[in-house]
Amino acid sequence: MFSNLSSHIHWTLKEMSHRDVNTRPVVEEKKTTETVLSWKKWLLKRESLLQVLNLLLVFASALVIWKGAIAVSLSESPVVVVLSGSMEPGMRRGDLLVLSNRTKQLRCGDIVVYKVQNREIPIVHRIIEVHDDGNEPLYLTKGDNNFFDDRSLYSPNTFFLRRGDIVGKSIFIVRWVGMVTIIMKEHPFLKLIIVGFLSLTVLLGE
Amino acid sequence: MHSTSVRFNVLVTTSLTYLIVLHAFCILYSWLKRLEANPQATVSFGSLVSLKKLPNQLGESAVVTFQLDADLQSMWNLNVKYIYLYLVAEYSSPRFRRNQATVWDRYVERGSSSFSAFPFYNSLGLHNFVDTLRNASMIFRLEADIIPFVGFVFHTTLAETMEIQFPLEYTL
Repeated sequence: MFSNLSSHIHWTLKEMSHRDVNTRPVVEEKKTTETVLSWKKWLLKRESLLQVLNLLLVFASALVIWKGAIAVSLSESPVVVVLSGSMEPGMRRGDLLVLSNRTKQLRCGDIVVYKVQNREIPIVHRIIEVHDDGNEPLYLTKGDNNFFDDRSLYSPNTFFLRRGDIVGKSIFIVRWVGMVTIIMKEHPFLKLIIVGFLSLTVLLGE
Repeated sequence: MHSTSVRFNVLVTTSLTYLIVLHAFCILYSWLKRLEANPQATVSFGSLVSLKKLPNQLGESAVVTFQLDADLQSMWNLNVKYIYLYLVAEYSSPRFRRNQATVWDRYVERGSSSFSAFPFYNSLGLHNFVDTLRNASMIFRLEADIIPFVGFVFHTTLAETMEIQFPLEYTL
């Protein structure tokens, strides 16, 4: 039985070697080319995927940093840019402010950012009056460079701000950095160009 | 040989890194200088010029005078842009247990190390639109905010007056 099997294997190997003599170079070359091509295709796909993932990682990191800042500061807008000259000379247009909403009891002199109904843009002004009955304090604000207080800016029939209107207290200043935001807001196409350029750099970068 | 984009990228990243490190040193330096600062200031109440009821039930208004003397030399360092000086009146009233009002303020510029204001009025007014100023016991505090070029906004109380009792009736 074993001798029979051995002869069969011998025959098969002989036949295969005989067949290979004629076909091996062509098939091997073809196979190698195909393998290299598919390998290259796979690498290219992998690289493209990696670049897209890199881009997503950049956006995700920015989002995580922003959400982290919200969690730490307890403010819905932890960073704001001064858009007007109402707080000059202390704070000029384009200054960047870091806010914190952890202080429960605000006092006169605090620079706060507040939002009122029917006004999309938050306002950066200083508290000049506080009336606290132990439950819900009332605040009156004014810009350092303004002659009058802010009662005309508040919602109709509102003469004071409540704690809920205040987004945060300014604790940190960086000069001029916010000018980038102002320029991009005034010229929206610049925002597209910059974001597009940065995305392309990440996608096409080495 | 590096491409232009790579060179530009490295240039921007390096510049930004140096700028951030420089800012961090500035913030640390001003923090340490603030701990050393020892400003001297006195504020004294002058007189109550008037205490009146505003027309149309808008509340009450008072005019008061003060005298102020302050030496802010030690508060200045290379990272201080302005010192915002302000006078706060604090009192309790029948309806509110804590009332505060900024009655005077001034931005002190670099170079103005000492500051004196001879009898000056409460330029921002001392109003109460929701309660009364009559019979209120007031303390006036001189406060300062150090506004930096970059970094934290520091707040400090420089001086305060004795408790001042406002009259029961309006002045003429």
